[in-house]
Parts: sequence; structure tokens; C-alpha cells
Amino acid sequence: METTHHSSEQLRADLRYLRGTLERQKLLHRRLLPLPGAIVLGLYILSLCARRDFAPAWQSPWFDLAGYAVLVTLAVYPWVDARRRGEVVRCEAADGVRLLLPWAGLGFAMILLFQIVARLGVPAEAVSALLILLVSLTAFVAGLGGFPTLLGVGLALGVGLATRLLWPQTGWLLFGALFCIGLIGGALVERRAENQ
Amino acid sequence: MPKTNKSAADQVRAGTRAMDRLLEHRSRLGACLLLAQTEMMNFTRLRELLDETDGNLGAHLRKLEDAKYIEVRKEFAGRKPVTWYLLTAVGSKALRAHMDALEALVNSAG
Repeated sequence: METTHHSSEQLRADLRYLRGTLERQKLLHRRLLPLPGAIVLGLYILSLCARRDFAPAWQSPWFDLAGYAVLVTLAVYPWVDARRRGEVVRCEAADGVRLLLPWAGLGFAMILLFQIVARLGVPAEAVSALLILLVSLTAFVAGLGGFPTLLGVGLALGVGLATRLLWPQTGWLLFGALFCIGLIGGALVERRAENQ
Repeated sequence: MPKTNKSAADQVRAGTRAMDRLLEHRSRLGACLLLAQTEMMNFTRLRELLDETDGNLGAHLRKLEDAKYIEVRKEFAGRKPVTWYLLTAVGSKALRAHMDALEALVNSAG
């Protein structure tokens, strides 16, 4: 015989079950940083920092192309991953806006920054520090605004930048390593939350 | 007061009457809610999320399909058949009405 939600006890139990089911389903869509993607992106950033420290004159179009490939893969991965797990995701405009707004703000801030650089002639080292600060703050704000994984990324970038400014002799490699740890740590936190 | 109690009981009865019989089972309601969140979902994912056995879930989904609440699409991933489910317009309307009735019932219960 089927159990239906007629008694108040049964109704309560059913509502708990439904809430749990929907929360488990939503976990998949809160994933911003799949672990393989975080590792690949982290290693790419680390290699960029190592190049800056040890072979600043080395140039390769393939290396730049690999960077674009990593970014495109990361953008497409959530859709492919959701389908592999058995869901075809509906694009929710509200979620898209919530995710994109901080980054649109970052784009606007970068335009302003380039204007300041062009008018005042700020040194290249200061420009990269300011860019990192902007990305760090944006990731932190996006983290506060509903994507907690980005909190770690924002913090790692901020700490990396502070280390770089306070002890310039440590080079960019330490900064890259901190960023890498922030990314992979964020992905691991997401995976752990999903498995609970 | 007896009059108030009677009125509350009437409201509960009315709320129960307005519910969709097919969606009164939590697995069928859960399946429809999950399908309302996505474009499509496959059998394995529904089974995992609803924590049901193959046989039970298959039977529930067949009932929803017979009522035209959901639509089935089959495809192959390599040699493996994959069954995808979509919520139809009929299912979506029924789900909305059922959720409204459920909400009214919960509100009337205080």
C-alpha cells in the first residue's frame, strides 16, 4: 500500500525528505571549481609565475594558447559534468546575473585602472599588484555573495600579494603556490560538501 | 471554540481534496520537483537523489508517464541505454496546483 502525506506526521516527514532531495540536487550546481579543473588552472598559474621568476624572456604562442584552452574548458566543464551525472541544466538567468555581476564590476574596475595607468604612467610592477588586488577583492566579494569557495581564492590571492609586497625577494613562485593552494583547497571543500 | 475548529477542519479537508492524488506520494512529487529544476534528468540520477530502488522508481515514473506528467527520451551512451525524463506542461501545471494546495493545507494547520 502506498504511503501518502495524509497525516500531519507523514506530511512533515515527506517535506523533510523533499527538502533533503532538492538540497542534494542543488549541490551539483553550486560547484564552481571541479577538482581536475582547479588543478589544471592552478598548475597553469604556477607555471606562469615560475616563468616570470626564472625565464622572463621566454615566449611561446602555444603557452598562451594553453591558457585560453584552460579557461574555455573551465567555462564548459560544469555543463558537461552535470550531463555526465545525469542532468541537463536549465539556464537560470538570476543565477547567471548573480555570478556575472562581480566579474562585470571587475571588468569596469580594470578599465578604470588602465585609464589611471595611461594618464599617470604607473610602473608595470604596480599595475600587476593592483590587478591582483582587484581580482582578489572580486573573488572575496563573490565568495560573500553566495559562492563560498571563492572566499578561499580571494584570501589566497590577498595573502600572496601581501607576501610579494612585504618580501619581494620571494618572487612570484610563492604567490603562484598560494593561489594554487587556494584554488585546489576551494575545490576540495566543494567536493567534501557535496559528499556529505 | 467549536466553530473555529470546524472551520479549520473544513480548510484541511478542502486542502486535501485539492491535492493531486498522483503527486501525494513523496517519490512521485520529488521526481516532478527535481524535473522542474532541470531541463532533463536521467533515471540513475533520479534514483540516486530520491533514494529509491530501480523497481519502485520505475513504477512511480511509469504512473507519471501514463498521466502525461512526464515525457521519456531514450538515447545511447556508447552501447549503454540511457533514459531521460522531462516534466511536461501538463505535469508542470499539476505540480503547481498541488504545491498550492499543499501550501494552503500547511497554512490552515497553523
